[in-house]
Parts: sequence; structure tokens; C-alpha cells
Amino acid sequence: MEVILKMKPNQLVNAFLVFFIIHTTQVGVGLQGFQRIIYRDAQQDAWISVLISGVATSLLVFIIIKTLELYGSTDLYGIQHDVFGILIGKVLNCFYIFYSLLSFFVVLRNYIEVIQAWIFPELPLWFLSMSMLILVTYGINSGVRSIIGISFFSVILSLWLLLFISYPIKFARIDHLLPMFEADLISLLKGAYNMTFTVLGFEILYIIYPYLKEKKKVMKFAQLGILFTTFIYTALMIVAITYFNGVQLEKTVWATLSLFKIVRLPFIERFEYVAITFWMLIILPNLIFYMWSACRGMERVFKVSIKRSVWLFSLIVIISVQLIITRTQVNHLNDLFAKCAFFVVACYPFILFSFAWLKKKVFNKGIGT
Amino acid sequence: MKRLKIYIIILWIFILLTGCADRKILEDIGLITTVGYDLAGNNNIRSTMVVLQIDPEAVRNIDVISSEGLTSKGGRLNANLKTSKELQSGQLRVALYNEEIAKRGIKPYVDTLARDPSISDLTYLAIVEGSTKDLLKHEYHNISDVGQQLFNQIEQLTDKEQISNATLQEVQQSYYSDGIDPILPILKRDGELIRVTGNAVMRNDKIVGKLSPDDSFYVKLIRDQYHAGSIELPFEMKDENGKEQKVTTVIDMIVSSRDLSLKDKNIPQFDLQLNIKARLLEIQGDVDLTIPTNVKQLEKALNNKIKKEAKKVITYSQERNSDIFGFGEVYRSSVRHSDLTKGKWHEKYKNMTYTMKVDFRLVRTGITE
Repeated sequence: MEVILKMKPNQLVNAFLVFFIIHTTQVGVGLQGFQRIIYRDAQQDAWISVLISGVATSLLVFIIIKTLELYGSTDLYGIQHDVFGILIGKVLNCFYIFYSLLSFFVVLRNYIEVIQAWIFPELPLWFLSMSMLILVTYGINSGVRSIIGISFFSVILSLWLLLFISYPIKFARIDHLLPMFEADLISLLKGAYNMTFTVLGFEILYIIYPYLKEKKKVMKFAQLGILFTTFIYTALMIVAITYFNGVQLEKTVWATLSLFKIVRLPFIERFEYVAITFWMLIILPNLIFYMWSACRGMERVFKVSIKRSVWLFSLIVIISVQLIITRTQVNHLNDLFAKCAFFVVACYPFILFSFAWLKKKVFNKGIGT
Repeated sequence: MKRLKIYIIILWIFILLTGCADRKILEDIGLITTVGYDLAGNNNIRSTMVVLQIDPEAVRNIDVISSEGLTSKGGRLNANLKTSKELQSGQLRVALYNEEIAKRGIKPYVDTLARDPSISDLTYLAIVEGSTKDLLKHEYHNISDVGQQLFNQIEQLTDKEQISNATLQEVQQSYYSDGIDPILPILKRDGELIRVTGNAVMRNDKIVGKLSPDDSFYVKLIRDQYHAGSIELPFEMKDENGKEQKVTTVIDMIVSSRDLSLKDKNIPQFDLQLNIKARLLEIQGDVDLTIPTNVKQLEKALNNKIKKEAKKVITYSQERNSDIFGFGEVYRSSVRHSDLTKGKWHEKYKNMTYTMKVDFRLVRTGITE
């Protein structure tokens, strides 16, 4: 396998698009209802946990980009192959492909759960997953530049949803935030840990990196993306704490969506239905990126073309989506995934960086030897 | 190109297929706009629903259906047996609870509304003196659609700040809060009219007392912080010759704010300061407003009157042990690690003391003097 990837100029995209890539991959199903999970640990100080998780993700992005910069132009599959050798590298690469596919699956299943709970209780799982998969396949077959284009428009076209947060602010009670700093450090960190599922997505940098044109600017725009996401999460957390009462918030499964329930416009009375259906546009880049990084892995490791593996993976998803039916199962899946993801995105980057750094700087070995 | 065509065809199929998902044709459904709950027998609940029908040939476009069941949703299922149209609650505007039910607690009925994604958070809740069936079933001379009438009446009064905002969201927020109790308007059929007779004082979800509309004004003044509407105040004051005389005024609050702070957390003791800026709408009695001292006298007299009345209402709520003012919220937000629960706070609230200051300013007396 080639470690260093040389892209043709027409495959590259501008570095500022990293902002949109990071933002869209982070924002997704987690945003719909992360508030109550954090509130359970940190109570009214939950917004501090969100900020802590923001700082942590910023640090992780820093490490990820530093790792990639050691090589110049490669992706995770190349680095693992180079650092750990052919055999272990292959095993780890397979694991990462599986992880991407699992992320895809979790995002899809959670979105379907929302659709079923809020709008169409009778709609079968296969129907919803099939319609999403067709969109995803279509997106992937159009190439990397189109995928990044989708993420750009997903951000731009969904920003207006934020304006409607002003409606619940009218009913907010600021004293819900008091007394401040009551939670101890352990609960705050626990809350931040529970943010994992929500802040996930920035690991896409590992795969997308070779396609970026000005590598030096990547860090700046990636950090800006993280900053923007953290800002939105903190704002939504504060609005949810002040709008809902504590016990009520713990009972509300999708707090962000419930915030939209208070919006009533003259021409549309139940705005949450618009928000939920519009969420598909927010989810779509998420799904496409995860599926693409899995397919890209297949191409890099096993030299199977992306177009072929996307059909294979779609089939796997359609079959396995039938296995998880009830809410309890969905919650269980989310917990399990969050634990696994915490290792992959929060611990592993440090391990990988130290190995890669040791190999390059201490043993002073060239690439691919 | 051929591939693109296939995609477009598949996408079209899916767009058309969405029409198959759980259709709701307007002519085939009955929209429940108002629902009332009464106790029937020991365990049964009688639900009365005002159903809006879209049928150009019908004489009356509303239908009032009553049915019994063990639960509120069971009542709806039974009601469905009496109609040719499928009953849907997505347009529910007002939910009424009979006093007897409110004595037992409205929590289960509020919970079922909150659980249903099709029900808006802006649904108004109210308590009814007498049976809700009688209120809804009565054929009023001047009211063609009782559901619409109720909704408009409550909305109008809430907008004009004459009654507290008792939407599903507000009631839930105070119910789940440890330091504030909900307050709901009370309605009554009065001959051919529907009248708001005051506010229900709730302890948790049970009605424990009633306040007249005038008394409710003071609750709004302290609880809601912003506006409190208008009030008629009869009182006695000395004129310039030192003679006692009866004066009745109607004043309209322009700006009102309250400062509530905890002085002593053991008793507990509070400092309550009300700042009111008001304008005079009407005055009956012989007061010459061109003389500045008279205006001062009037302000002072009103100040004392408001203080006296507000104290009376607070004492009443303490007797009934229902914190409709939100003293407990201030306690919770100022005491660290208080571990407040509803029960604990109600214990403390009985013995609560406070000092009250009113700063009343008459800023305008109309366009004549």
C-alpha cells in the first residue's frame, strides 16, 4: 500500500472547507437530545461540561493534525500501515473501517428513531433506511468534491434553524442556572465524557486530509469549526436548562427538538415537524462521510473500488437495521458505541501520535521502510 | 448518463412512495380542539371532546362527544366508537379539568399530553368549576364554537396579562420545579357565558385553594416579574383638608419588577421589593390631581394598599401551603447544595417570613388633569 498519497490538482479542495466538514460531521443526531445526558451528571452546571468537551476536542484535533503533518499527505490507513507494519496495520485498518460503518449505522438508526417517535410511528425501518441509503450512495458516487460540497450547503442551508431558538428564550428562567459551580469536578468531567457521542465526527480529518490543498491552513479552519460547534452546543445547553425544569429536562429525550415545539408561526403552527424533517439535511453529510471513510478504507486496504463496497455496506446496514427495534435497544447501542468511540477518538490519537513521532524522530526512519 | 437516469427514477419512486405513509385526509378526520375531563364513578374518567369537522354540508361544524374510560386516552378510544371520523388531537388548544379531578391531581392527564408528540406545548390548561361536560355540551345562544371561544378567551386574557400564562409548558415547568407551584385559571359556565372566576392555587398537581381575579393580580406581580396588567383598587385616603374619604382608582401597570433575595436560609427569610410604575386610568372620589402633594398622597395610599393586599395573598398561600410566588426558586438558586425537594420546601414554606417594600410611582394620569 502506498503511504504517501499524491492527489491530482483537480481532486483537491480549499482548506477553508475544513470548517464546514468538521462542523457538519460533529453536528448530527447527538445534537437533538444531548442535554439530558449531560444534565444527569452536572445538573445546572452542565454548560461547563460542554465547554470542557469543547476544549478537549480542540486538543484532539490538534493532535490529529500534528500526526498527519508528520507525513505530509496521507490518511489514517497509510499511517497505521507505516507505523504498525503490514499485519497489525491491516487489522487496525479493518477495525477503523468497522468503526466508520458502526458510526454510520448509529447515526442512521437514531434519526429513524426520531422520525418514528415524532412523525410516522408505523413507517417500517427498511423503508427509511433504504431511502437514506440511496441518497448516500448517490452522494458517494459523485466523488469527494461533491461530498464536501454537500457538507458546505448543509451548514449554510440549516443555519436559519438557529434563529428559532429565540422563541424558547422568551420563556427562559435564568435562575435555573443558579447556584453556579455547584457540581464538583468529577461530575463535570463525567458530563464532558458523556458528550463523546455528540462531539464525534472530527476524526474524519484522518481520512479527508490528503484531499486538502493548503495543508498549513488546515489547523486554523479545523479549530474554527470546533469553536463554532462548541458555541452552538453551549448555547443550546443553556437554553435547554433555562427553558426546561431540571426533572423535566431529564425526562425529555430530544430536548433540542422539544425546544422547537414552542415555535408557532402564523402560517405554520407546529414548527417542530419542519425542524425534524429538515434535520435530514443535517444528518446527510454525516452519513455520507462515515460511509465514504469506510469505503475509502476498503479501497486503500483491499483495493476494492468505492462504488462496489458502497453496495456491500448498504446491504449490511439494511440487514442489521432490522435487528434493533425498541428504544431500549437503541439506547443500549448508543451507550456501547459511545464507549467504543471514546477509545477511538479520545485515546487512540495520542497513542498513534506517539508511535508515529517515535518512528520518525527517534528512530529517524524514512517513510515506508 | 444512464446511471444518472436510473438514480433519478429511483429517487422519484421514493418521492412518490412518501404518499403511502399514513395519510390523514382532512375530510376523514375529526380534529379535537378542546377536551374536558370529569370524574365519573370511582375510577372512571369521562372525557368530553369538542370535535371540529370539515364538512360543508353539516349544520354545525362542531360536534361534542362524551365517553368514559379508565384513562384519558381510553376515553378517546371509546369516543372514536361514536363517530364516523378518526379523532386526532393535533389541533388541541385547551384542556379542561374538573375541580374534583384537580383535587386528586392532574399529573397523569398532563403527562399524557406531554408524551404525545402531536400535542403542542402551547395548549392551555384550565380548571372548571362544575362539570366540564356541562360547560362544553351546553348550546350557547351566542357561541357557535365553544372550543374556539374558550381558546380565544383564554388567549386574550393571557395576552392582556389578566391571568397567568398556563400553557402545557408553563404548568410542567412549575410542576417539576422544587420551588414553585403551578397556577391555573378557573372557568365556569355562567348562564350563556363562560366566565373566568379566578385562579386555582395548586400544591404540586392538586388544587388547594382559589384566588379571585383581583388577588391573582398580586400573584402575577410577584411571580411573573414583567407585567401585571390593570387592577381596580378601592381605598381610603386623606385629602388636603385632612378629611378621610373613599377613593376608587383603576391603575395600569406600565413596568413592574420584583427583587426577591434570601436573607436567612434557616428560617427562611426573604426580602421582597416591588418596583411599580403605573398610570392612572380612572379615579372616583374628590381628589384634585393638579396639586402635586395630592398626587404624592395618592401614591402613598396606593402603595400601602398594594402592600396590604399582597401580604394578604401571601398569607393565604402560606396557609394553603402552596408556593405560587416562586420563593422556593430563589431559595434553591441561592443556597448551595440545598438538595431541595418539593416536600422539603413545602415544609419550610409554611414558616417562611419576609419583609416587603413597595416602590409605587404614578408616572402618568392621562391626558387631562
